[in-house]
Amino acid sequence: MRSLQFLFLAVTASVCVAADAGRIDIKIIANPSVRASEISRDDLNRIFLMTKSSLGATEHVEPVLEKGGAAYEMFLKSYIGRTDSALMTYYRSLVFTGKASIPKSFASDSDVALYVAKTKGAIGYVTSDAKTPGLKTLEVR
Amino acid sequence: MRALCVLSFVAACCGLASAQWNEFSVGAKTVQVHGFLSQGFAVSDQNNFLTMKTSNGSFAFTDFGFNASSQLTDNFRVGAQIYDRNIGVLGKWHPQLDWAYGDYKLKDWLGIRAGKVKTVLGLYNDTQDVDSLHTFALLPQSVYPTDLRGSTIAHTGVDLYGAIGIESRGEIAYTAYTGALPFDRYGGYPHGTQALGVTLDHLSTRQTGGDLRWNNLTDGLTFGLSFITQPYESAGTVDLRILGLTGIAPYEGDSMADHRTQFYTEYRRWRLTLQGEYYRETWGIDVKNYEKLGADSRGWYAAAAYRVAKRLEFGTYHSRYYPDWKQADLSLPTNHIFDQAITANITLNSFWGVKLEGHFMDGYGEFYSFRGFYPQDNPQGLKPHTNLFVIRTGFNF
Repeated sequence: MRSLQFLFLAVTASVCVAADAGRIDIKIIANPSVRASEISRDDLNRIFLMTKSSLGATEHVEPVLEKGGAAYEMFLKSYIGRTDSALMTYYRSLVFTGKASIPKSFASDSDVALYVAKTKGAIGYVTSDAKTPGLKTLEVR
Repeated sequence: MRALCVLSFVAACCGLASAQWNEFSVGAKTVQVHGFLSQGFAVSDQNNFLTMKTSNGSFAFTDFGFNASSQLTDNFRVGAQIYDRNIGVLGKWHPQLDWAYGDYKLKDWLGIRAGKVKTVLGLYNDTQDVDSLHTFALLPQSVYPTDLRGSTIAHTGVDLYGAIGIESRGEIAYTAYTGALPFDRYGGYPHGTQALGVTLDHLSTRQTGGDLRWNNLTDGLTFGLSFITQPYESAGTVDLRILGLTGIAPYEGDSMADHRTQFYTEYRRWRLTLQGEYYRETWGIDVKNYEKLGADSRGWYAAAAYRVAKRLEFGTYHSRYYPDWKQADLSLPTNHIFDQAITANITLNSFWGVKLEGHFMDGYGEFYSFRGFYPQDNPQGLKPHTNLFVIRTGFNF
């Protein structure tokens, strides 16, 4: 009986470790013009769904996407709650009613970091070990 | 020639999408251009539906739109979109300015739009034309009748809008508007009145209304309420044969009231989408030198969709429309239109999709319903049940 319990625990632990290995940590980065040092999950969601375009004392912020890849999947799951397809459909609904443009998107951490660095008010996300010199990292509350 | 134009448009869509050419600079400003196009085929076993000859199978089910917009400053953006459709006899390839406005956002909680603006009413009124935004090839016709699109789609006037964050409980968003509704000369309303002997030359409507919604009350859950009032004046001619006489007489009809209240909810979390909407519309019309008509119309639907794979989503809805809730026997085919729909929404790539959809309809509504079933399109007489199959493919970029 004990060996069965041990086997069950071992299998469960292996599955958890394997699942965790698929996880990737991301960080939220911002242009230095963004005066906040932290951001709430709600605000992050609203900025990327484009119903909020200011953050604290910063009057205009601009979301930037890293399209595709593990960081994108993690960002969608953690902060947006929509699949890629659902998010693009949402953006198109804004575009075809004239309410907003589709946010800029880039294929890699370095491209996102480069654009955020040169664009006033830009907020994006990259994998947590990406090098982002000169950029702010916003803590998510 | 038109088919050639449509094909050119598709080619342009594909070219633009693949080359990501939908953004360019004019001076220091960036302009984004986007478009959509859908082509459908519909076949039914009984009645002809939506002015198409669906009992023979019909490809007369095309629409498209094209827009350009630019964020001129952090707070100010401008844009415009043209739209055209040919669905049976609806639209008849007459392009129209769909929206064109300037949008100045002072704060997140206060912005102003002026020009021709899409009317916010329920979940989908303002996006109903864009096939690629929806799971279903035909939106629930109880709430979003394709033929009556022009009755609510946009107004030329002013909107105030904004959104206020509620700590850890999403946001409350509002829109309030007033403006004039252009006459949709090629819509279901004038087509429907023709069966009553009335040819409309003029329909002047003023829209005033608002929308209040709580987004993300919990993750992915939205509740909302819309209200619209739209008094109108109409004029034209009436063929007196409808009254057993001969000749043509002037027609004038003024609304006595037209109020619509709509409640809606949506839950959208990862692969699952659940939606429901209900509306009540009370209306009355005073036809000069004839009589007064009115009704208490109601409609609702419940829909569910689940994306089973990256490129495949299944969905279903049940939709019910009652032309006049006060009718004694709502089970008569004239007094209701029910529709059970099932769909498979196939995403071929990020700018192209195909939908296969079945509709099992019961009833055809009153002579004034103007929702899919028209006597002149069904000279053999309307049958109580209609099964309809729709294939619709849509491009967007």
